[in-house]
Parts: sequence; structure tokens; C-alpha cells
Amino acid sequence: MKPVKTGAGVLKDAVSETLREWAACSRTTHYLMGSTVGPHPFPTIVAAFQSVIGTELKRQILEKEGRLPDAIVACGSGGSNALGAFKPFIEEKSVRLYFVEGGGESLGAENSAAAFQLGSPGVLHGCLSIVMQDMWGQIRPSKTRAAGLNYPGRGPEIAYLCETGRVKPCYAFDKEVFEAVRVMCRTEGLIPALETAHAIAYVLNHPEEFSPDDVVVINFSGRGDKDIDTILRHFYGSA
Amino acid sequence: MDPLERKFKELEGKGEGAQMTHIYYGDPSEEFSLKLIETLAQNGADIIELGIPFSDPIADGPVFQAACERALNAGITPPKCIEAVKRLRKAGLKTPIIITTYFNIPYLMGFEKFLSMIKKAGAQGLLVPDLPIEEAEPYLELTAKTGLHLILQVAPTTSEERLKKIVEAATGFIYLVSLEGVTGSKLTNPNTTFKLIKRVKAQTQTPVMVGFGISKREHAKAIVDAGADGVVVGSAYAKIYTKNLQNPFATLPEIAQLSREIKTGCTKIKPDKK
Repeated sequence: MKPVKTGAGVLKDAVSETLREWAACSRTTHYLMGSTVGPHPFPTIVAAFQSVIGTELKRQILEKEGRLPDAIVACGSGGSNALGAFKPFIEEKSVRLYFVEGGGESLGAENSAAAFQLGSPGVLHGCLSIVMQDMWGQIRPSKTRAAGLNYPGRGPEIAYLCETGRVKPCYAFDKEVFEAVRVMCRTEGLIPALETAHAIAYVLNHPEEFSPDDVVVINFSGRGDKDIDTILRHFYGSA
Repeated sequence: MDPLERKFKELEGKGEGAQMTHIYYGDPSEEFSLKLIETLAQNGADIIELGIPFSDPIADGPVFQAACERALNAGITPPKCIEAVKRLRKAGLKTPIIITTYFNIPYLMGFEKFLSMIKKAGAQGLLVPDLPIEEAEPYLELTAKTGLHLILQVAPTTSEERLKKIVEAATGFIYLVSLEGVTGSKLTNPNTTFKLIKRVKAQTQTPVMVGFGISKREHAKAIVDAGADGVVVGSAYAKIYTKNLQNPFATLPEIAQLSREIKTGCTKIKPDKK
């Protein structure tokens, strides 16, 4: 384990540092990229692994409901859990796919991680996709309370699916996300990760998108144990 | 013959290898970078590699990462870097200049526009460390059309098949990455470098410049003795002025001294006259 001390100490810096490290050990070591980002073929490899989620999801929903879902909602920045959940449904045109980014505090460039709202085509970590950047192409640090949504670029495949209209890019703000954590705890007894709570928040706050008969799958990508301090601080203050 | 080719020709005539010195422009200030380039050019630098700072320099080690960060925090932009080339030429600098930057910078400006700007400013070439040969074709064409060199890199991990493609497409010189790692790393296994130099030299007449991990005279000498046409030195100089960021100008004599020393290591072994 090697802490990353360069840059702003966020997800993109960890990816950069891992690429640098790997440049020195690629003969003996495989790089297991943590998301559907980076140079080819990493986005493809990661999407293939992650598609296990979607394959299981499809089998389970058919067992349980006897039909395909009407919508799947997943959070993301690089996009691995979302793409994994979506993969087996991309050709199933009746299934609506929602990709929820970290809206941060507000959609201001300094306060958000919503790259589909604020970004533009650019090259980061060896891949051309949507990235948050300034007018000269310097990558802008993204901002959200959910560390896992804090990559300033989008994986190339999820960006493509959003561009073609197959996936709808959405976002949820930090405030809505904490509220979604509370609702989830109270109603289901589950503590979602702050990342996952973005998908929950989106569904809660957009009733117009879903009808009561809809079968909606929220990809519960992570548990909130890791965020418990942040969540407690948010609701009960620093004590 | 353009100034870069002329430089290699001239050095060959003198039995010298070339020293290219890599700096990130604007660290910690434009005034210092201009003075640093002038100092290097007067003290053994044959080619200037002028880096346009990028926020996420994945091929660079901690010294250059910090340099990019300081320069960007000080407000440096790509147009200011290109303007610097113009200023250096106006001040009479004849040394060939290679612009180095990561792909997103020229991509966002428009690659063609970027090329014409650096050409007009007086640069001889462009090096883009995150542009692999597989993606390079359209950019090679554009660069050639503009009358510039797109400098390509090979590394110890480059396969025979890729090396062939790179050697075929290369113009100006080939940048041979001496080690598996990032800029400023320690050159711990020079035999790997020597082997790669022989591999590349056996396939091409294009000059071969060796960079990454070169920080002293002995490195330069060993590499030029192994058959390379020169060395690239960067982090070693940045390390010196980084020690005194309050007054980096005070470190220029030390930088000049190291640059002259490294240059003396670049003397080519004269072939035996029979």
C-alpha cells in the first residue's frame, strides 16, 4: 500500500500515480484498473468484468418479476458499476438507463463532479472522452462528497451511450444525497454508500420519470460503512 | 535542411553528442524560465525542450509534477509558452526548440492551429508523450505538412513490431526512454538502455536521443559511448533551482556548471583511423 501524495490527492491523482508506478513494473505486474477509464483496453476489460452485475441482475429480475425492469438507475463517474449493470440491457430498448453523477454542492464548475453537465471532449489518462477542464485543457478538479464519484472524466463507453441517447445522464446534489441516506436507513434499514445514495436520490427526487407500475432497479453499488463518520457529522455536527 | 537537422550534422562534424535540456516553462516564473533557457543554451545545451505544463503529467516523476503544478498556479497558459518561443527567437536564440506537452493541450486548441502557432513562433518540433504510434498517423501528417518534426518515443518495453513502425515514422530524432518508469527516476540498469540503443541504432539513421534518469556526466558519457547521439536532461536541473525557489536565479551558476559537465560527457569516441 502506497499513499498518493501528489496533485490534489483525489481519485485522478491515484490513477495517474498508478499509471506511473505501472510504467516501472509492467513486465511482472498486471494493472487492474479500478474503473472503466484509462487507455485501451482497460475500459473494455473492466466493463467485461463488471457486466457480471448486469447478468445477475437480469436473471434475478426475471425470476422475481417475470419481466425486464422498466428502468435501471446507477451512480458513477468513471462508470464501472453503471456500465456493468447496463451492459446486458443495452440492446433491450424498453429498459430506460439512468447514469447519476455527483452534482456536488451546485452545478458551478468549482463545486461539482457532474462532467456530463460541465465537461467537454478531452484526453485524460490515455483516453478521449468527456472531461472537466479549463479553456486550455488543464483538467479541473471535480468536487463531490462521494470520493468514488470524484473522477473528472467519464469512461469512453458510458460517454458514448450518453451521446447516442441510450443512457440518460443525470446528477444529484450532496444535500439530496444525505437525505437519500436517511430515507434508505429509515425505510429499508440499509446504509448506502454516499455514491450509491446518488442513484437513490435521483429516483426519490424525480417521481415524474417513474410510474407507480414501473419496475425500477437501483444498483446498490456500495455500503455506507465507510461513510459513517461523514454521515454522522452531516446530521449531528462535529461532536 | 532545418535547424534541428543542421544541429545534428554540425555536432557530428565536431564528434559531439547532443544535449537536450528539458524545462517546464513558467516554473516558478516566466522571467526565470527565460533566463534558465538562455543559461542552458550558453552552457552546453544543443536543443531546448520547452515543456508546456499540464495538470496531469503521467510520464513525469515528482520533480516535474511539482514544476507543472507551480507553473500552473503561477498562471501559465499554453499561449504564454508559445509566446516565450517567439521572445527567445527575438532575443537571438538560435538553439533548436522542441515543444513538449500532453495531448489534451494541442487537442483542445486544435492540433493544426497549435502546430501553426508553434511553427510561427520558431519551434522545430513537438513531442507528445501520451500519443502512441497507433494513434499518431494523422498527427504525423499534419506535423510534416507544417514543416515540423513530431518526435516519437521508444522504451525498453517497446515490442519489435512497434519499434519498426516508430522508426519508419520518426523524423528529427528518436527519443529513447532509458528506463521503465517516469522522468527523474534513477538509472539503475544501464545495460537495458545500452541494449535498446543498439537495437534502435541498428534500424535507423535517425539520431537517437536518450532521456529519463540522466543526471550527471558519467551517464551522458556511457550513453554516448554506447552509440546514442545524445542525452536529454531535465529533472536534474529542476532539482537544483527547486532548492531555492525564493531566488532561483541564484542557482543558475550551479545549473550552468552541471550542464557544461554533462556536455563534456557527450564527446563521441572517434572511430579508429586505419
